[in-house]
Amino acid sequence: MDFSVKNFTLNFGPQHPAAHGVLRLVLKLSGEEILRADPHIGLLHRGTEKLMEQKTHVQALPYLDRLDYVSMMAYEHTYSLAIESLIKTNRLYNRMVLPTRAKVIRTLFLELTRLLNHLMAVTTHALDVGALTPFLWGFEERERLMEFYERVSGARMHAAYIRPGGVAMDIPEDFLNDVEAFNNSFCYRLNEMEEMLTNNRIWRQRLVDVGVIPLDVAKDFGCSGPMLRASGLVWDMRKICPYEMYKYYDWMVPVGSVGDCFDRFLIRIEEMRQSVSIINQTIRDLRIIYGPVKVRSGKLKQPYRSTLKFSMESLIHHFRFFSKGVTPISENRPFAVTEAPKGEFSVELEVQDNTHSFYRARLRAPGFFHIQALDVMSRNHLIADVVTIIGSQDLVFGEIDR
Amino acid sequence: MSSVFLVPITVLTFSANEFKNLIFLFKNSILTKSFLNDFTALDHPYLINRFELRYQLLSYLMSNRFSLQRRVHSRAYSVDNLFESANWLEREVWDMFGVVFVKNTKEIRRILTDYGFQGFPLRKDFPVTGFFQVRYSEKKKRLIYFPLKVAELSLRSARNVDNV
Repeated sequence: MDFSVKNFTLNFGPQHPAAHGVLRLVLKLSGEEILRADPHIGLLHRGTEKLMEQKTHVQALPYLDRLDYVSMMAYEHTYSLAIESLIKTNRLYNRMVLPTRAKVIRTLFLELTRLLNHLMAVTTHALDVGALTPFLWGFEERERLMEFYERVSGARMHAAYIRPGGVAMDIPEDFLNDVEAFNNSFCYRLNEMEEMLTNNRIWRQRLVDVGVIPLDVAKDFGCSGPMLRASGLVWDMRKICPYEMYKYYDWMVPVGSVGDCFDRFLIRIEEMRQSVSIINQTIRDLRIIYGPVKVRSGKLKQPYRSTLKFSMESLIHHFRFFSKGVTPISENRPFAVTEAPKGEFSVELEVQDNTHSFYRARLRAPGFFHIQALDVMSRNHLIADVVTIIGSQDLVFGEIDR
Repeated sequence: MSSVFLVPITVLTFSANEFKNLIFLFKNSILTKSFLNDFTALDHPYLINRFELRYQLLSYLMSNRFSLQRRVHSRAYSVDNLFESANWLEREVWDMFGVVFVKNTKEIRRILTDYGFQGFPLRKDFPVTGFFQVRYSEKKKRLIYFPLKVAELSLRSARNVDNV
């Protein structure tokens, strides 16, 4: 008896729970083997770049929170760096210099954000592959992290806390003790999670040697973050072009060798451990370093309310800040690139002459490049492996579709 | 601003003729060995060469970024035979600006906007509100597009009109 097998096309998503949001994946299959994967993105497209062109520099900040809605502060931080580069640096004119305490707080929250993101990435990845327990444990920790967000900014997720010229306000009393308590217990939570996953036979069978992306291919696709490091390149913007306090702290960059899903998983776990170490160092510093958390100049930030009644300059800055936003006073082309938890996120702005809105705001989302590589990574794999690969790419459609 | 690190980024502007050789050189020269890290466009509607294309190449060896810029009228040579990452970036620029990429080796179709979308949203002559709105049609049992009905198409606020 002879029979022929036809290739057929399968729609994966956009409502599939393993598609991490709204990914429509058109799979061309031969049996269960994937011949071609064609991701259709854009189902969450909100036109952030166009909307940012309508806003002042200050008003555009909250859009950045909503890009990658699991690592909010990392994105608003990059935007803040880009805006700050509009202001001319001058060592003598120290009203523009960001206070050290602000930098340490930023570093603290960037690393808390990395935990927030990697917890989501690793545990939902495990959930997709079939392990429910790490997800439940991980989200308990995420809830604690979001409480930290809430305590400094009032919002659990879309904080708008890191702003051009510093952070919105100083951290509350007792905050450091709580972060420290969380941090110390978090190591054990990580150990528990690793007990469940790392040497788990099923987990290994599903991840090892699945979705291998060699280094030259990863570079060619513009992959960054854990995707690139898993393939074996030491490339972390926190080391290459250190911003904030990273160059003063002791930490290491984990690097993989194979470039498969398991490497990416291990790298995320190790990055979380490194983050815990960085957070400890920021807590140590924050206990010593006191002072303002915003630049002194009113060009970048809202002046203190108390000064409004006494200082004409403050009144002017107050008016300018809320009516016009930040006044660019340098010829720099505002550009900033940072190591967001998902990879390199860069903001490139084109400032219009004589106005206070952008001519063009370009946001380079790391996920956009990763999902482009999905076709190559999932070729000749089975359908179940596509779920693994999507999970290990750590996709969030807020940033991919923008 | 001491918190701002200076990203090593080199800006270079080129004409159309030299561009193709140049980007090839940047990719393959041992010194640079660059990869296409980002690609975007700017719209200057009053110029003949309306679109400014910005290719951002990243060299891992030099840890440097090169921003190669050129202006085009409406079409440009595709670079997707040189870089794997180019295809989606070009699709996005086509989708958002309507720049046509010729001599492409891969398919270039819309990427971020809806199936059957018309217009190029990031052009300066495209209003923020768009031209169409969407609703569910009970008769056709699907979503339909119909022309937007607002009194004023250009909803740029009064604040944006006056200059500083």
